[in-house]
This record gives sequence, C-alpha cells and structure tokens, in this order.
Amino acid sequence: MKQVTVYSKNACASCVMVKKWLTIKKIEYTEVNTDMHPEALEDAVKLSGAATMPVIVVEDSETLAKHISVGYKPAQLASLVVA
Amino acid sequence: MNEDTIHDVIMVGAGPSALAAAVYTTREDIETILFEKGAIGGLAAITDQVDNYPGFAEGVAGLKLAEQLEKQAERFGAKIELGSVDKIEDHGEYKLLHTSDGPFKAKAVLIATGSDYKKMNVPGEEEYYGRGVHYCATCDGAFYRDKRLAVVGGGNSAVQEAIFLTRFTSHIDLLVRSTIRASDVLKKELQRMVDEGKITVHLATTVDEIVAVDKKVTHVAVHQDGQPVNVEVDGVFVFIGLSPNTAFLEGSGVELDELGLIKTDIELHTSVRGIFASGDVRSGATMQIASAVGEGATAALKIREYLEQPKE
Repeated sequence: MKQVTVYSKNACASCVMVKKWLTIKKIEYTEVNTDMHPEALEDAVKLSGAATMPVIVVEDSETLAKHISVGYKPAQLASLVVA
Repeated sequence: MNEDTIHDVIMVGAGPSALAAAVYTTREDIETILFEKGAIGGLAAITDQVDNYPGFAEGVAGLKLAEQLEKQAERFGAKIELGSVDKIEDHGEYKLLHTSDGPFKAKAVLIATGSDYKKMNVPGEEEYYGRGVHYCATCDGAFYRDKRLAVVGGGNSAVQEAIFLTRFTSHIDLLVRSTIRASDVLKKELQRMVDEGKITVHLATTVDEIVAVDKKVTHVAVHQDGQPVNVEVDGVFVFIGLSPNTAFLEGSGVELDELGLIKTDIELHTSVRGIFASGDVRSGATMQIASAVGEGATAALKIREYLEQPKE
C-alpha cells in the first residue's frame, strides 16, 4: 500500500497537472496546500531539498520506503506510484 | 478504440491555440483528441496575470484562463490525453503518431506545441535548477519571501514576472542584456518599482555563471558594460525568450525555419498535407495568447475543409 502526499500551492500549473494525473490514474492522495498551511512550505523544502512546487511524497506502508518527486514528471510519478 | 482506428484529428499540445481549435472542431462534430505532455494551457498556465487577452476588463490569472479554455473544449467533447507525441509519420490518408500511450492514427494533425522558456546555457543553470534557478514565478516565487532575487531578461515576460515577484522578495536585480523591450504599460509599472527601491535594473548586462556555496545560490557572476561584477542573490528567475517545441518533428517532413519554427502557408497548412500548425510554434507567430487562439480557430476551420475534401 502506497500513501501519496502532494505539497501544492495555488496558481501552480504543475500542481494542477500532478493532481489531475493522479485522479486519472485513480490514485488516492492527500493534498497539503502550502498557501493554506504556510508552515508546510518548510516541510516541503526539507523533504525535497528544492525550492519548487509541487513536492510529491510516496510512502510504502509495508517497507516504510519514502520516495520524493518534484514538479510534474508523469514517467517518474508512474514509476513511484503505479509499480 | 484500437490501433487501427483512424481518428478525425489529433492535436499535439493543449495550450490556448489547440484548445481554441478543439472548441471549433468538436462543435463541428469532428472527433478531436489532444495530447499534452506538460501543463494544459501551456505557458499561459504558468503566467501570473494576463492583462492583454480581450474580454477580461480586469485581466485574468493565466491558470484560470487555461482552466476555462480546457473546460470549454471538454464541454463539446474534446478528449485530452496526458502524454507525449514523440514522432509523426505521414502515411498519406492518415498520419501515424507514436505517443507515450502507443500508436495513434489520424486523418489530420494540428501541431500547437508552443514554446518553452529558453535556457541561458551558463554554468550553474542546470545544476541548480529548482534549487535556486527557476522559470516559473507563480510556482516558485513564494520560496523567496524576504530574499534577494535576480530576474534575467528584458522583454514582457521578464518585466511582468519581476513585478510579480516583488510581492515576496526584499529586492530584485533585473539583469538585461541590452535594453528593456517590454510594453509601455509594463515599463511604467517597472519604473514605479524602481522608484520604490524594489527593483534595480542593470542594462548591458550578460550572465556568465550562477554561483553557489554549499549548494545554495549566493550570487550571479555577470559582465556589466564589459566589466565583471558579482550580483548577490538567493535565487535566479530566467525569462530570456522562447524556444519552439519542434524536436519531435525530426524526420516527419514538416519543414521548419532557421529558428526551428514550423513553416505554414496562409491556411496554416505545413509542408505535409494534412498536418497543420498554429500558435507560438508557427513561423511568423506573434507569441501572443490572443493570436494563438485566433490561429487555433482558423486552423480548425481549415482542418474541416481538408477533411471534407474528396481524397484521391
């Protein structure tokens, strides 16, 4: 079982695309909107090491492995969440 | 639907031009599929504010405009696939498109892949992409609250995004290779920002390198009036022009101009019969959303004519 969290912000086209892609693939995710929760912006930077949105965290509840993806990269997303 | 299905029209790209074209083709009951590998809405979707698109007296957020165009096209039946078209082959009565979702055939193709922001190709640019080097102010500007930024470029995009970024930053250095080439409206707004001390404009300035210490961008090495200067910043946003998305057309027979833009005739037909082009990717395009939308409508009507013609 994989848990997907999307750190997003408003007016972010890549964030919209990631959420759209996950929805089309019928993958459930939790969204953390950093405009509504500004304190989460720092968490996103710590997780990704990058200053860009969105940040996608994929956690495997069995192995506890955690993978991070940044931006809208469908092929990378597919390898993380569909496999 | 299988590999042998020949669709009426496939549009490569789902920016304003293709979405406008799709509104027209679907309303003519022409089956329409769009392929988009990036953001639906294209560069418009990552633009903070669009003030020169007719019909919006107070302007409109780029993402909002993109969402409305998408909904309008889908309302009439356009199907948007999130995937890439990697190659196009001309087989006469149909075109074969190699996509990330497998092969697709279509009687007609509209190429409306637009352009992406150009890279500077200087040391540090690729290395610190997303970690101090950015191309989307609306996406990444908030990471630079109360910090110093450099914005590179002197056209409409650079000036508009620099003005937008002042809502976050303590100061912006606008690095301009020659002179400011923005509209008068933007120039006036820029001057206001300069007068308020929020932006400093550096003309005749070329970027040599983006420098970081411990992987954190610290300054931009530039030449200003021929002299080497270091501009201390925490991040750099680059808006130095556009580069057409036409690499996938290699070997397709679609003729490009010396800038890599697609050549078309007055009916927006490319050098390959049945393949049309519109918007920013077309040679001679004005790189305006309003123009791209108009060309999309024209292309759709010409595609309809093409589909109605008896085939040999």
